[in-house]
Amino acid sequence: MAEDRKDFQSDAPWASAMSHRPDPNRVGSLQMPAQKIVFDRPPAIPPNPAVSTAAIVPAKGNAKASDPDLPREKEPAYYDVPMLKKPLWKWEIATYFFLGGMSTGAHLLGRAAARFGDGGDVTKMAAYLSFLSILPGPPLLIHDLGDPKRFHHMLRVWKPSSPMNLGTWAIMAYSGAATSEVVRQYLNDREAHLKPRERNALNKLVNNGTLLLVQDAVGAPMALLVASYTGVLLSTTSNPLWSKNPWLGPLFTASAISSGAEGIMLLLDAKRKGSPADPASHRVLRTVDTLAHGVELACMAGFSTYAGEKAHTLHEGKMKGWHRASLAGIIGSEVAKYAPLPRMLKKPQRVLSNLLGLFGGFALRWSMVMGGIEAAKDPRTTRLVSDPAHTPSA
Amino acid sequence: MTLPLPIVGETNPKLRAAGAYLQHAATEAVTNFPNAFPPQRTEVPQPMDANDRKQIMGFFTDTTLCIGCKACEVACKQWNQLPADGNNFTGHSYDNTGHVSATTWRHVAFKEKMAEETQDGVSTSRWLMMSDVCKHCESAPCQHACPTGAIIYNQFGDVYVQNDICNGCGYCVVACPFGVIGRADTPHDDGHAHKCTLCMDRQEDGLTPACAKSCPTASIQFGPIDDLRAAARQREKDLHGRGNDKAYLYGCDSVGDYGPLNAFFVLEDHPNEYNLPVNPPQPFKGQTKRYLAGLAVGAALTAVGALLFGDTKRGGRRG
Ligand code: SF4
Ligand code: SF4
Repeated sequence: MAEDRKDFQSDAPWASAMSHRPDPNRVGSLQMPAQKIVFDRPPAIPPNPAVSTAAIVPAKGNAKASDPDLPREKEPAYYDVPMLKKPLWKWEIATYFFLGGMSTGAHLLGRAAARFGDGGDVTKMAAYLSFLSILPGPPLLIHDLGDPKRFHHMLRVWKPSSPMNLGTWAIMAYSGAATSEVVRQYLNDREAHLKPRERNALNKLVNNGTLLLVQDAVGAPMALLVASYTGVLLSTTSNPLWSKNPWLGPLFTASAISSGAEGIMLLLDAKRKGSPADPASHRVLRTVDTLAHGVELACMAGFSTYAGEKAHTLHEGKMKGWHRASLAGIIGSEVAKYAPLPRMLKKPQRVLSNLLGLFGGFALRWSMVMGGIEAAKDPRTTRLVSDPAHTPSA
Repeated sequence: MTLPLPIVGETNPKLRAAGAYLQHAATEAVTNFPNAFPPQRTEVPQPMDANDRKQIMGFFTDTTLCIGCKACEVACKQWNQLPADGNNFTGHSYDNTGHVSATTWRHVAFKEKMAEETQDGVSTSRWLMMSDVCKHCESAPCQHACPTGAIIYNQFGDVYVQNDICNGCGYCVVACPFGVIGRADTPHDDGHAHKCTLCMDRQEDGLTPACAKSCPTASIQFGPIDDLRAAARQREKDLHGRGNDKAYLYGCDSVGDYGPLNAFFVLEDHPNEYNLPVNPPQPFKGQTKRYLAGLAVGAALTAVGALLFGDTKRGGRRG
């Protein structure tokens, strides 16, 4: 009895009593012919324009979700249960967005200095910084998964229409370029310790022009992609704060460039003990940093205008402080940079400016990622995201 | 088989646990290596033939017929062996479920509309009852989002999460404009995303999905999507003919950027009264433009850097 039911295996006391019964979960074993689904087809009716509600429109007599005249409690709603699920992305993602951005910014500027300028210390610091800051990226991203041991499933498909998939491939390619750059830099730094023959080999193999060209041809576009996909990733969601916002991509990219410049400048200052000299390349980084900060502020303004009321979680509640901190970091960094201070204070001034800038960049990612969680918790905001009055067309 | 990793002498409980995890992971990796990239082993259902609309199956949920008996909610839980969500008391009429989730794939909404709330002067209290479900969007943001390819359109044209592939990244959860799909996140859960499968297993055996089968008032109807849409249009017309001019179809046709839903509804009130979005955003529309904006800003700033670096070089040579 129970023995001849191969598909029915259980040690439960009731199992033997049940074994004569067909297992309802295994219809196939009963050799039941598949039923044809019969559906009474109604006579075809041409759509009546007067009746068919082609668009999802509120029924007659109902107020719009955002009707300003309607008191808050009278707005159509389902007991204020949030309509959307809140994002599951937490500190790991915010931290990765910041570190990954800094890494790509440093890589881009370091390679630009090597190709078009003198390279030197800027390229050197950029190489180490971009490698070290992309290093924690993958562990952070994997830790954030619901099932971390399946992280490699991201790479089983090539699906560039999903920013997360495209981003994963871009990180793979970019970290290859960053690693090759740091290895090259390390070997060149050790050049003094090498025998002449090894030095020759080094210059032929590692400082090989073709190799560098390939590295830059892959590395630069991938760095740009890694810097910008994070913003696009947030914008391709239905979260009220992020949904379809076209300013997120430029905002995160500009912030990546400024964080990269600030990181390099900090390292340069750490290396140059006490010297008040301000070499030309350092000035370039300062200028690029200022420009990037300007673009960031412009994008923030654009972001707030586009999001409108849906961005209110940045202006009140838990994320208010972080949002203000990001603005304060960006503006404070510029103020500290150009404040006329005595010569002997130049170095602390530079360090303070760069630290403020980095803090601003981190606070920006933190307030954006965590602000999304706050926005999805707020029932009214989740209703606004689907309200035509609050969703400018793309 | 367990791999002999040297964790035997470790006394620090945290490090020991870390070692045990590594051991477990390594063992899994070695024993499951051939299965590490699932597509080689998993039979993926053939996606629908887009030309044969007869194959696309869907739900038509007529809320004017719903009596709120929750048979569908229970049938779904039973058939799909979904765990209980605990004994919650929300205070929201007869609805203690709240919302669809990773472990609740049908949810019956109860809304009490009291007489004083109506705006057209007719003082009758009434109930709004609706059996909510995954909308099986024809162009589903969750499917666009999924970076592992776990979410597919199956052979019935329905949106289906392959549980052996999902790695719980959580992107679909934020992509869905209806707040449907969720991740099973309690410690004893698998950490994967789950939602209504439109009873793909039952459909494969020629059976009606459990909820539609159990619905005593035919509020939930199941069938080929074109037939359902025609029936729904007729139903809307009938309702208007009987004087229920508030009834309208939700999701039968595309609205704005958002394509039609394969599980659509007849509603009698503002969509937000049922916790449905008025005009769901289709966030994947226009993403190329957003990429280009980001890339352009990055390239422009790098180019400015390159130019200035070039100047320093020339300046240096001159000086
Ligand atoms: S309702 Fe949500 S979960 Fe269901 S198919 Fe549409 S986007 Fe995906
Ligand atoms: S959680 Fe799973 S189903 Fe959802 S997007 Fe990530 S991999 Fe795909």
